[in-house]
Amino acid sequence: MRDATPGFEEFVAACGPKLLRVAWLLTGDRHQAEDLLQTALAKVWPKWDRISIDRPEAYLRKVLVNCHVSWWRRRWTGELPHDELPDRPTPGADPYEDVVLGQVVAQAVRALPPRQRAVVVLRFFEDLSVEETAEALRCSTGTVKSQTHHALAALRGRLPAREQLLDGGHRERI
Amino acid sequence: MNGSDLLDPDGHGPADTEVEQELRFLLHEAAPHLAAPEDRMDRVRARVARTSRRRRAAGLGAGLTGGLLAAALAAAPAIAPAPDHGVAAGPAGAPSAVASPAPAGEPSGMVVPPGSATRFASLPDLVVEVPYGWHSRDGITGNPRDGIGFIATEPLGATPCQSKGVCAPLGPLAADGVFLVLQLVDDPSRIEQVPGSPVTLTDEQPPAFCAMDGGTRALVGRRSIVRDGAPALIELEACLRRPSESTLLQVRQVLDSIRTTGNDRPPAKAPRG
Repeated sequence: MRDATPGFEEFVAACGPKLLRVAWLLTGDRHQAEDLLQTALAKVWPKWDRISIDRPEAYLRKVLVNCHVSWWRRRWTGELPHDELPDRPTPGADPYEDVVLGQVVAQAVRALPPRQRAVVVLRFFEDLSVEETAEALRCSTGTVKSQTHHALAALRGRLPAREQLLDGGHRERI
Repeated sequence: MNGSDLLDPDGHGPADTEVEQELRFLLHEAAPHLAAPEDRMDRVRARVARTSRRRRAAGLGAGLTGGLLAAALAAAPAIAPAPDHGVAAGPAGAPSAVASPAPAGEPSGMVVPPGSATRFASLPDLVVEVPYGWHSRDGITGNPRDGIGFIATEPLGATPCQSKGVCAPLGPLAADGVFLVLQLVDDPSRIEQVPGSPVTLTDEQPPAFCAMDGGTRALVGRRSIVRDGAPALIELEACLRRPSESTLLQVRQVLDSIRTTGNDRPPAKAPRG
């Protein structure tokens, strides 16, 4: 059996947990997230020797995000962005009773088109700059700005407020 | 980075900044810390292998490797050994992974018939008997002392395989299925420890690539042979899925059957019916 290129397994061990979280935010599902991460790793591994050693994580993240976008293009399964979340709590009731925080956030993010979703995850979870996000997504900075603007507009009102999370004890993890 | 760099073009301002801050907090709170599967790297390795196989197959279909294969086929008769046991020993895998033909009146049950004499391009001076109906395929190695060949009950694809573990059957092993790797080990220190005959097969924990292809059992056997007047070691690794007794016997027979094209021949076998 072929051995992994030296350094690659260590890199995966170090960066895998964070990239798996990124993948989860993109897919909203732990199994799809692992699948996405493994797909990206399988693309990167054969080129590992040629990848610049100073920013391998950025390269893998770029592959991961673009894999996700191309998945969405190729295997469209009926998922559509909606104006309203199907499982949004009804007004008047405890908005987060029986609702898991992760599911609420994931659903809100998943309701975004894939490019907007990628922009949101890269900019606000990975804390990339507009320029870095544009490089990762292979688009212009103007596109990143406009996608960010549309994504924020779509998410406004869909996400729970921080105070509600901290007060209500609804920090249960998925 | 902060949110200010995206607040200009469409006139949005503090409200967006607030949403960004909330979003950052929520994303970090919501994204779970998932555990990595223990066999993640094995799965990645298997994906790389599958991609490699698909690319090789696509290359063949596009005719890129077709020419090479045709050249190999044309040259095959010239390098094939003399007929053995009444059957010409063809190079492994050359006829596009066609299974060894079954003789008429093949006996059944525990009486295992001899296989088709086969030689691998990377092991040119060795002949192996591949059971009828099984498939064989060459591996490619840079060192002629490290030849490798693959034998399986399932099809092995249409092009030579690059190295051990990467050349797996095209699909998962069926019940009673077998995947064998034969490798010449260029390590004189190990040769003295291995008997020439009889050979023994030892059970080992199925490696990940075997388990992922549906294997439930792994066997390893080693045999020393005389090659170019010097002792050499042949190692057989078998991945099996719920093997029957007759299949186990066939695996053993494969290892037993290995011989050089010189005088190191095995005992004579009964003629085929």
